[in-house]
Amino acid sequence: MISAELQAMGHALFLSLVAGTPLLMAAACCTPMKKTVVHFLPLAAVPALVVAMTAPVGLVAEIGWFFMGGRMGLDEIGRIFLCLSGFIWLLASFSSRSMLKHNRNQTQYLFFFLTSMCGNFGLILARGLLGYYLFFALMSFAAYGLIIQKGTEKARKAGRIYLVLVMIGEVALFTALIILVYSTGSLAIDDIAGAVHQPLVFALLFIGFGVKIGALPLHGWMVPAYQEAPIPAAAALAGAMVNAGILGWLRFLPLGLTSYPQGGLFFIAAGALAAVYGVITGLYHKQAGAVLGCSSISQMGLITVIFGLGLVDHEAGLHATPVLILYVVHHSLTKSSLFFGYDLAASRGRILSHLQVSAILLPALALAGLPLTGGAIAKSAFKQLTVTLGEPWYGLSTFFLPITAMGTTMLMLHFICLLRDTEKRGNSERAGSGIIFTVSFIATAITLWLWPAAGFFVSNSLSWTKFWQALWPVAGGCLLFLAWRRFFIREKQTLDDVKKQTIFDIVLFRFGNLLQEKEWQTTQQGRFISYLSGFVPQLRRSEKIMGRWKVVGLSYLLLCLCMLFLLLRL
Amino acid sequence: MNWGQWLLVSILLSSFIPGIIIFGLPEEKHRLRTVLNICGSIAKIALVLIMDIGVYFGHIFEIRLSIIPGVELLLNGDPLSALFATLSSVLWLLTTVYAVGYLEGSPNRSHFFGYFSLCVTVTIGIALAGNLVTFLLFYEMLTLTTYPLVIHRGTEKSQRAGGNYLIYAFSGGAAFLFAVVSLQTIVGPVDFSAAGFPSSFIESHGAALILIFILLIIGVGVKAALVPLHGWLPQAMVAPAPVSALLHAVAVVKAGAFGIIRIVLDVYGPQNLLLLGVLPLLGGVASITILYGSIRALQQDDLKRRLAFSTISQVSYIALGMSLADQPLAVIGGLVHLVHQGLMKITLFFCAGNLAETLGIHRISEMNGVARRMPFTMAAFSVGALGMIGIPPTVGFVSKWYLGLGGLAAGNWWVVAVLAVSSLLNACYFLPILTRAWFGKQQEPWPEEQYIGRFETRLMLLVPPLITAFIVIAAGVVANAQVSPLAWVRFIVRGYTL
Repeated sequence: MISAELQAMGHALFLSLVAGTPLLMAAACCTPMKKTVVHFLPLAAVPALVVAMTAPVGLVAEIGWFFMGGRMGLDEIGRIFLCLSGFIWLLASFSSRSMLKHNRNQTQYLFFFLTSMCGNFGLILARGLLGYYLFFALMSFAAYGLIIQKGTEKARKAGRIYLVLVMIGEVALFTALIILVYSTGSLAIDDIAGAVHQPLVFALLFIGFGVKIGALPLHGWMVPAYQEAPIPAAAALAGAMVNAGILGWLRFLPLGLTSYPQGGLFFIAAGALAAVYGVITGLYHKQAGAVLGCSSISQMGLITVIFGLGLVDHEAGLHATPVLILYVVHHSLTKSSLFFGYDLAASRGRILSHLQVSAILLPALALAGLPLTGGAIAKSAFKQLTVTLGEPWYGLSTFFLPITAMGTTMLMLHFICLLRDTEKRGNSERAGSGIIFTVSFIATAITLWLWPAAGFFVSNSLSWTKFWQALWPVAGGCLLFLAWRRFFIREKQTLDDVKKQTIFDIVLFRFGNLLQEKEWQTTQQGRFISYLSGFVPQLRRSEKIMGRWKVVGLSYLLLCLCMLFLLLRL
Repeated sequence: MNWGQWLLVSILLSSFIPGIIIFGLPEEKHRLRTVLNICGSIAKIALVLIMDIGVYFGHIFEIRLSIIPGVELLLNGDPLSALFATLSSVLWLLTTVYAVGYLEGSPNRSHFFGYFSLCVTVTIGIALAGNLVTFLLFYEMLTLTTYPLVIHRGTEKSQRAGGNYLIYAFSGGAAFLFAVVSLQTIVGPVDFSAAGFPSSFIESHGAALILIFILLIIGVGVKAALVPLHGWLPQAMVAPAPVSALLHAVAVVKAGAFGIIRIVLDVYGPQNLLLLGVLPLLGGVASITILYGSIRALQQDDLKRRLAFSTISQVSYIALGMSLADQPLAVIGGLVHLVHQGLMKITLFFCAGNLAETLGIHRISEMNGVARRMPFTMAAFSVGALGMIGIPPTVGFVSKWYLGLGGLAAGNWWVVAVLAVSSLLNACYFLPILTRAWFGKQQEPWPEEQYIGRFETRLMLLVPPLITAFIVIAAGVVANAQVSPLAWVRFIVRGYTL
């Protein structure tokens, strides 16, 4: 009896270490131990990797007193996500450590880096709705501190957009959870599996997690955030934190248990649009981080499409889950290694060598699905899924996949071109950025080949037809890119200039301050807002009227009448 | 008298006696006054804790004093009064410490601390009141004891604010008095322990009972700052920061909200109110207040004014919970918010006071980069603000969660909508303050920088907000534990048959 209890406590402690270590280190960096924390920064991600590698699947720990009933556990999906996130955070920690050696503003960065990490690990292990929500919120808000780290006006604006969208997502998620818990009467994630029926909850979950992955109407934060965040933080955002959105969908709308054809169609449509939109806008950006942001919008769009296919019916869900996870792993590893490549380019005092450029080219084209890369495996898995689902999905995918692959190829070549023009940060060569890139490069290159669950898709991608199917969009993309460079590129017009005012500046966030700032009134948008908020002066007036003696007197009169009435009744 | 009765009396006396002594103390007896204050408040916490334990184990605490036949004063310790008394006495200790630090060297301190102690005595009286007459008595006394605190600065502005406060408070008091007398005439003496009068009266006196309910709510609604009876609260923020903290989190506004709870749960009883059909009215007023307060808060640049409007909005969560009185979850949400809002708002006012006292910052537009100068103060402020928005794991989330679940259980989707919109609005007026303070760049020197020492400000000003901010997080994290505000509120709700 006692030994069982001890064992349960041991499990709880073991699992708590995953999120607890970064949190403790975040607390420590507010004390004079900051230097030590910087030195041992990579240790924060180690417990996550250890647990992911060693803990048996199905390990569950209950901590009843924690936040209205805490429940942690590791399942098969959780293990993959934890492993992936742990690895990317580990690399990002190494990269951050070398960055922080030249940085004065250490505390802020460290604190937010570690709390985001804590949130990210915590939500993977959470087996309760509220736990997931708690860590998701922690991660989302902490990431704001990473985005505005540079403190420039641009960074601040990126942060503002991010914060508005995060807040909208939080409220949507809160509402969705409260409805879910009310209709199922349970706080455990396992119990709500397949319980989502109402379209409203679907929509709210789409918004709540869609913000994180940059789903189409909610993508506004992604590009500026990736552009402005310090590169190691951006790598963590793009490689690890976005996955929290996908995991959220998997947890709350588990594929294979949920079927909702209309919702699936919506996901597919939104995802497909995002996949194309990301590529097109990306070509107009002139900063490497922004281009990677656009590519993330596009790739996350593809993942959304896979998720949507899985929602069509139960059968489809069972087939879609492994494909989805394969794609997530592929995207995370590739995208983070691109960011580390970008870091290499930005931190080196000299121009990249040809070897380095071609080393970065490999993950870049893997994203487009170049044969013999992980991308090809992921793409062939995607295709296989549509074959299983039959028409019309198969027919549509024969158009859609090559188009996005071509687009991604163009986008990635654009990225490589931009890398060469990246402004160098000083002359000092940052220690280790080469090694970090090499490690992530190797991981990108071999993971999917060695991964047991991908075995079928690996052999599938090796046939000659598949080889050709994967090759021609990439080759076509290369040609198109050359043509585009030659004929269409104009130096002046880029989206960075055009999008000076995003819609989010106008709506919501500055709403309160807007009402007071006179200069806003003169702009078109300001006039619109002041028109909308015409009721505000009226509020003020009504406030004054309520304070006037006449009104007080009248209220007294009314009061007396009431009393008279009561007296008569008595 | 048995020990329980002695306990109730000594709970009241533990702040009353120091208050009276302090009035007589000369101004310069600084140390003695502080010792008296602190000892009094620690003694009060200890006594209240004893009462809590007694209440938990079912001991009955009761004192009855008959004034005239049919009208008696009744002090009673039930779980609900224990909740409010504990909240008030704990926050009083922190506010006293804070006030000692805040008013260091300012004139009329004996006067101030005397009324301060009386004010808490009266608040505890409200908590312990066992029937409507006793409640009314302490409720009116509260107005009288807080008025001198509001006008403490003695400026013309504070005189005006004080005058307005009196007008509002006494108008409400008049309505309340009349309603109490009428109700007593119809249904006889109203003890809170009865949890509602017999429903037979509803058939015979339906219209009158509805009207009385409205008058009662107007009476307590003035102090709870329900729109449109809220006008005095934003003006009263001219008072010194500890007074604002007391008004918003411990005494006045809370007394109003507590009154709403008593009226709904104990005077009328949820079942009677359902039969009368007046609960939607309360829900409507609460929702309007929540949204109106938030929208008005958006427009304020003065930090304390913004906080004042935020109080108006947040206290109505309690009223919202009470308007769903037949749903246990909503009642839990409303009751627990009585504690949670107090903790969060007192943190925010302490921090606002620190900014004003240390750097002379009164306006939000002056707060750029202030967190670099006062990191601990702003950390506490951030915790309070995030709690107000309802970010987990703060206590604000816990309240919102239960209110939302209760709303759904009652089939009222609009409750969830109101909560969602209110969260967004709260974010709109709190997050810009946080980003400004933490990530903004200081543009000009602080208006009046006074204190540069070892810590960012005086230790007595710094410790109270840090403690309350810690509780804001801790009480949220351990909400499910055996000892937490939520656990106690569940214990209270178990006592009602909803």
